[in-house]
Amino acid sequence: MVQNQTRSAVRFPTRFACGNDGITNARRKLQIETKVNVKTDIKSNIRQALLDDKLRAAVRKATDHSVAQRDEVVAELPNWEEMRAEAAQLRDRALSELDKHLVTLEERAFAKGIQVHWAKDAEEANRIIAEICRDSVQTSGSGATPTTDTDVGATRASPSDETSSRPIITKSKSMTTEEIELTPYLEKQGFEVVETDLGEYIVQIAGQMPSHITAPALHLSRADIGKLFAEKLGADFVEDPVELISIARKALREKFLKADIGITGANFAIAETGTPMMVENEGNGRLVGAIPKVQIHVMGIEKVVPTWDDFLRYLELLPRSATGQRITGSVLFFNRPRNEDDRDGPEQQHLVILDNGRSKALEDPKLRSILRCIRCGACLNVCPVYRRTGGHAYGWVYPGPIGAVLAPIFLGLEEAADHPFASSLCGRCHETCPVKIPLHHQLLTLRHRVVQQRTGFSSERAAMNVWQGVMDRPELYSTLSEIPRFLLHDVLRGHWKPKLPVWGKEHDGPEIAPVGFPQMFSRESSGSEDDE
Amino acid sequence: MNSINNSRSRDEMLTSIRQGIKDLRLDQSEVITPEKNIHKLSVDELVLKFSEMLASVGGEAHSLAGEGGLQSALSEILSEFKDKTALIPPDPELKETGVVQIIESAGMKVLYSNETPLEQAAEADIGITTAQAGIADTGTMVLFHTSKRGRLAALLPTVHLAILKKDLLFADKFNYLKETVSQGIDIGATPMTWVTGPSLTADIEKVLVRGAHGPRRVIVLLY
Repeated sequence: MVQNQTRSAVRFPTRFACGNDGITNARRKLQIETKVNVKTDIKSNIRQALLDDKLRAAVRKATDHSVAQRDEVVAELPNWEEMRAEAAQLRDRALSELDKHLVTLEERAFAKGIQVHWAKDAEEANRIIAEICRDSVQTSGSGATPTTDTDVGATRASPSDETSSRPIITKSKSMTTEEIELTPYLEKQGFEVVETDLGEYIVQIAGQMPSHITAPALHLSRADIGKLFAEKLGADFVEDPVELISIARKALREKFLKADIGITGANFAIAETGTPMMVENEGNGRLVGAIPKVQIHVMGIEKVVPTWDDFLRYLELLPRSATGQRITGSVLFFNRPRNEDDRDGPEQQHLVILDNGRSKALEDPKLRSILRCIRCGACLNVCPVYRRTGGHAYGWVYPGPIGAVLAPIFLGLEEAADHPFASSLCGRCHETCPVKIPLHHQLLTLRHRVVQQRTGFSSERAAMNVWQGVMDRPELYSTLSEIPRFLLHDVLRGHWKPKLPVWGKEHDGPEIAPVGFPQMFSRESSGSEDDE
Repeated sequence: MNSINNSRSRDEMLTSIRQGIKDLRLDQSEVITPEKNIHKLSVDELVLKFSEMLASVGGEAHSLAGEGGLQSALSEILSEFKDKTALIPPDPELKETGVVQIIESAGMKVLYSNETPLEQAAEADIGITTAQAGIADTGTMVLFHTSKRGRLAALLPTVHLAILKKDLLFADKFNYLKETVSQGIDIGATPMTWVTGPSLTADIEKVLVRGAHGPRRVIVLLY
């Protein structure tokens, strides 16, 4: 790597690793390195992940399961391919009038009492949300006040902190809030932020980041989780998922009931009625939406859809692609804050619309279709790279093929120069994508740009130049290619074979042919049929 | 209160979006909608489909003959809940259909979700509500949340029992949307939840477990 510039591209160094040895080493290494601002090395992350058999087994099992379930419910629909094509077309159409739909959304949402905020970047979004949170606890006089705690490490394990008197924020799962690092921001502002999706809760108390878009704790085994609950929640060690879930239900119920503020993402926001909406399974989103007096939804600009009719089409695709379900357990439409007579639902409802690099992607004809993405995570499950490394190796909030495309867009091409290379370009991501994003083409485009951007001496480029020179001259090629064959076969007579790196550790090299290919080829094509 | 607290960012974002899409022309071509082969289903077919799909995700549906059937099925189910607590919203339909009387005569304590403190409401053993529509092809019930139909009774207890009129069943979500809009109902006016079976999670090793933060058991009585 030529561009060894010192930057911290890993944006979550302290939450980076997962609880097993290989990755813990990677984490330790990263924590040390980030102090001197070393560029993220996705290659070394991948190397570490590949050595971790436990991790690979867990990821393999989970992704196999997801793919099988997805295939089953997709097979029920005879016109799945047409549905994908239609959805892709509808997404593009919505994006081509994105400004109009956002303005409609704002207008209709506002008319129903939802306050709309615009945030250009993560920093602005965090600031807006923190301000809403502070104002709401001050005005409601809930007794709990944010206590600014500079030691973030100490606030990290907050969900188990019984004596806390800080205002409680319950959060349902949202990748967008992970992207802007909202939770650590609010914790620094003195709030107790509780992730309520089970997988998110597990990674939160483990001090990690999610390793999958729809299954955040996919890399952990039931034993890992049992140990974690025993250690952090003081529960008895159990391995049975049913028992583990009832431990989590009990611990989180208390937080749900006491929460002052609820934060959710939005799978979509339907412009024609000003409706932010989300899907979930655990009932945690319903509790986050029902109890706190203040509700905040955070959405990327691309999540706006013009009509209910469009929305229903995506609702056919999303649960099937994400979790292999025909529909999720709950589909929530946050249509308005509570009326005077209502006894539940938020008194104040806010919608934060986030750009954070998305409009920049919109400008790029080769990459803009990435904004079609409905965050189902199906491309992760089929990706031969993700399936072997898990999500943490990507060192960033969005893993897998979608993450490998989004990283250079959101973090910059230099910061995430290796991400587009974490792919075999097999195209399965594109095949499985419910909105037909040409992910493999985009990865290739980004690779091209990474290479073009490199300046200075590159041994790879020098080698490719030499190669090109040789390939342009057939006689030279055939002469040069004869040399190693001659040496290996005629001079050394097979007493020494070249050892190929990596591959050669496990494999013997092939026997050296007595005659070189160019010679063989010209003999064949000249019509000689001596062999008969 | 002003809706736009940061109009400068709004303007900059919209400008940047417009810059991004300026070379994009709206795709005027007809969106190719896949053939939807829906023949009109009879009420019985809808009931059957709804029950089958709800059962496939671990819920229970019972098809009953009118209010009489509803009442006798309800007393039977609630016999398991003697001396237990029911959480209900102040929904007039629950009185009109005789549901409240049956709960009381089953020897249960009734808590109204609109006047019970949260902690106490959360201890209730069963939540009983109406549903405002059903979507047959996924076994989904539609719950609107108004002052008379809060969210909590369907959410806090481990058991949720809903009553749903058979003539409020629709073949699929597209059908439901079309009918709702054609009746002049503003689908964006009231908070709404579509619930399909018990709450669930597969976050631990992809093992499906029913009963996460919401109900563990969901019963729909179709009458």
